[in-house]
Amino acid sequence: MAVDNIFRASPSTRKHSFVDWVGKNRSLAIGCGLVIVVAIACFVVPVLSSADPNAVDANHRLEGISPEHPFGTDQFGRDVLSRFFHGGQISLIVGLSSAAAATGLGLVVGILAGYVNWLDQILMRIADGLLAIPGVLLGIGLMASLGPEVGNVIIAMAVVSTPTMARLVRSRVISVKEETYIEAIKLQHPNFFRLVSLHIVPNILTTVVVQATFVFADAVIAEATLSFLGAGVPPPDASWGNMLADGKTLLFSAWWVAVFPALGLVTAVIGLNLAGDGLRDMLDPKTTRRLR
Amino acid sequence: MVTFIVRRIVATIPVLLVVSIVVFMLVHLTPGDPARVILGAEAPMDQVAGLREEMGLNQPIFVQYWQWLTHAVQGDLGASVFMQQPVTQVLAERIGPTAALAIAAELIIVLVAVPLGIAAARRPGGAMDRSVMVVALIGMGIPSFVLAIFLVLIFGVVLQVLPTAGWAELSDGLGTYLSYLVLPAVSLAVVLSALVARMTRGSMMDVLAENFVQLARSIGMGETRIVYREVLRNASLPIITVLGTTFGSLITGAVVTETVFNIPGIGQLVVDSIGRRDYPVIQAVVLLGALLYVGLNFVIDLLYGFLDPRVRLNAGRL
Repeated sequence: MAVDNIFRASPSTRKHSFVDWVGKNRSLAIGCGLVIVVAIACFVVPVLSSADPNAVDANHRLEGISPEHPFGTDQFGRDVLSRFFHGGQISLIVGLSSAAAATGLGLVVGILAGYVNWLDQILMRIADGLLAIPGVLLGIGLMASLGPEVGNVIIAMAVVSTPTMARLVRSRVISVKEETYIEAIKLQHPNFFRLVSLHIVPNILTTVVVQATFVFADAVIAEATLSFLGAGVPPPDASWGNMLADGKTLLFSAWWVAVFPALGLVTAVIGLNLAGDGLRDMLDPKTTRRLR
Repeated sequence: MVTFIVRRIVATIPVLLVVSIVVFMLVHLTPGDPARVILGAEAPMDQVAGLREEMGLNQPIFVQYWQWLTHAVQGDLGASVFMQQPVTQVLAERIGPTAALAIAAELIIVLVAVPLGIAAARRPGGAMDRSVMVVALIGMGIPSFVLAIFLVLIFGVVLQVLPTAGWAELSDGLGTYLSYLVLPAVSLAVVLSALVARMTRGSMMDVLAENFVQLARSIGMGETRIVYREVLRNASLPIITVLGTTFGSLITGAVVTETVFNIPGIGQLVVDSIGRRDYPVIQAVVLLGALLYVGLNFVIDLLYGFLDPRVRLNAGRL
């Protein structure tokens, strides 16, 4: 009877406790919530409205909050609200693309370094060298030479973030490849690519996904920083960073030009960081948060 | 200790080599002819050819790298294309405000974040602990230049109590100097304070959990003495490390933040140089940042070896 009870109780308890647990994992819930709200706002709202974010209107420059312009207008009479959404799109796309690129590159480099000894020395020395250059400065340098284009921002940010990811992947690969089951699989199927893609990558994926979330958050900040300095997304296209650059000079006359993109940026970044923290607690309880 | 120092110096050489290659390549990553890009599309051909000659672009790339490296080692980073001045001289003129800003922010961090972290560690889960964690979370989401914008709005536009743009020298009087320094320094410090407070808390809590703390309590040693003398000393290594690495972030943070306040430092120089495609200046700033990072890490390593004999013994054996 008792045994029967245990068998009957266990599946439902498991399910229940998982739901419970997601509820308890407040960072993940709040973080994902914030990110989803920002993403939906930036990607869905512009589709519904026809407002042109780059439409100049000389008669309505620097106007405050009004029903027609809920976030006011900037120094060219452009609608800050629609620029906010389009800028958010660019910021999120740049952040996501560079995080994806850094993750892909980091996986390749990290796995090679973790597996091939002579490559390890070379690749990790290069990573050390790149990590020695402060990220923002390396980004500025790359952007200054590549030229101000959205694609180049993604390239620059990927270069900046790849070494950290590669180092992380390498250290995980080195510990996973010593496991007994990997040794056993090696004996069964000596194919390197099969081993890596089917057995190594799935085992390090949780760590990589958690780190990728933080890279995403950092890349959103980095895009804003570069664009703010005039080395990122070129005008007239909006990004939260170059809207902040516009707004900076208008703080005394039109606070709304800077404040709204700033709030968007902060919400997205805090959301991503929270989601990363929550994901880590859920998937990968052993590792500690990375240091920037 | 001498072998330890030598080993640390040797370890920095490959890093510096990679850094030098990356910095050198910044000019050559430009799509097209760097000389043409600098002078613009309308510049006459002979002018472009002249600049190519001046920059040494006609030589094989390895020769160019070698010449650049040998000059750089001797402290010659070339001349600014736009200002017709040696780059090192340009940097020397601009480094003052940036360094002052970073040092002021580091002082704020040491005086505020470290004590906050200690207080949070003494009562985990208490009000202080929770507020430090919340501030830490927000601090991680707000880049310093965004915080700077908010601070300008509050203290400059609404309250109108502090200057929001420009810079004063110490010779203008201490009060004036500080009034220009406080907003940028605070906006820089807050973001990194979050990180330092979290690290301090973690490090202190690790040590507080050790047996010798129990022993010290059981023999009746005062709590203040336990925390501030015995525990803090043992927890100091990670705290020193994070303070050292934050100083590197503070310098780059200062570069961005000072542009909010129109402070005539390195940041303003970088922004101007990006627009003018003044490669030697940008190269020099990137190199300076990397050297600072490598140098700081070197000093931290030495401090580790100096403070904790186990570190230098292990390093000697390996």
